[in-house]
Amino acid sequence: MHEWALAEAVIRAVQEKTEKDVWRRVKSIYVEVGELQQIDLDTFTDALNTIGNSIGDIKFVVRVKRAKFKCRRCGYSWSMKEVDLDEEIQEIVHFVPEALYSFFKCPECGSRDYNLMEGRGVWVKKIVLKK
Amino acid sequence: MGEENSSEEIMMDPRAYIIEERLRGVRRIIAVAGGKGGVGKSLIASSLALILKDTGMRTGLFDLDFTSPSTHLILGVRDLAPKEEKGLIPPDFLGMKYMTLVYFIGDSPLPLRGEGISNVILELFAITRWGELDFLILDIPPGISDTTLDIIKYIPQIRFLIITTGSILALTTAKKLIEIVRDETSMIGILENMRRESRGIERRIKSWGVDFLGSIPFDKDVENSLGNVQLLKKTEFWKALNRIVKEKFLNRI
Repeated sequence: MHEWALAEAVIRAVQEKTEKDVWRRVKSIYVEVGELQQIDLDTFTDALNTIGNSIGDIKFVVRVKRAKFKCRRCGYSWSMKEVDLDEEIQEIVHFVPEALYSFFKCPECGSRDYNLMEGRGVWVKKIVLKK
Repeated sequence: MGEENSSEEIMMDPRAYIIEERLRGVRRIIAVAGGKGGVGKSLIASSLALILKDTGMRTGLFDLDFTSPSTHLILGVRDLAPKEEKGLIPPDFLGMKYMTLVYFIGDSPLPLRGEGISNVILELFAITRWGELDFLILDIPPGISDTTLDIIKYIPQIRFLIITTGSILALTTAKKLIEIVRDETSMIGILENMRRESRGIERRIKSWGVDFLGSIPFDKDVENSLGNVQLLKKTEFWKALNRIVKEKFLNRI
């Protein structure tokens, strides 16, 4: 239920970002979820709906952003298809995505010095307001 | 019905916005910091947390030195894990709440650049539920780099306890840290660790206009006590720190 904590963060962020009168006009919130963290989308969306609907009638649209990695040493780029983690490590990366650096090396040169270009964490992407 | 919608395209990281809420029940947050590595920050952070807990305070300890964590080694923490409940609840260790990245990565190396460090800080502060605490002690890496700047940014109520030795190397870098902390947030004072000479650094510290909390003499028995809190509590180091906490530290917070 770590998804709940992230859902709370989304709601709080939108509340703080919007003025009080604007907050009441929020119709939908678009959220982007990084593939790396492997958030359980049903649990996350349920949590958003539960917390969000206690405040207003808000629709949440949750989309997954594919993860992209690029090695700083050799320049090789790769996607999650090449990130083969056992279940225990996946669980760790779920909580702390940067833990990947402990367990996964560049598939090309073996360096741990690579960038996570896209697909990390949770982002609020768009807020749609009722006129 | 005839409503038109307006939308705002943004790219907002929500984690920073929930930190205040996560720390709402924590009365005082103290970073144990220093300009240089090896001055005893982690040892003092761990011991300070336990001393505060022993005085009846509800205390938490958070190891923010992600690339070189050591509080778990100092305290001898084994086989603990946070509980997952709408986030993470730090487990109890000897009566205090204790959080470290070691729960996740064990003793595997975790190489992190600045952005990675900031991400881990944000992630863990956003999902960790500390509940009600009198003190949350943060063990942070040395210097005025990412972790120091991030906790100043995200935790406005943070106060710094600065650790140095009498070495010119530690003092020079501590002074830089003091300048940053003074400008950006607030400081409890400075504490000298591993004092070897009879004359300490009190006069010099006071000339900087900083509160000097006291000196802890060098204690060769500390090394053999690492990993065993019962042994640690019998050291001269512990006794000196205990005295400073009760006579000086608690009066300044």
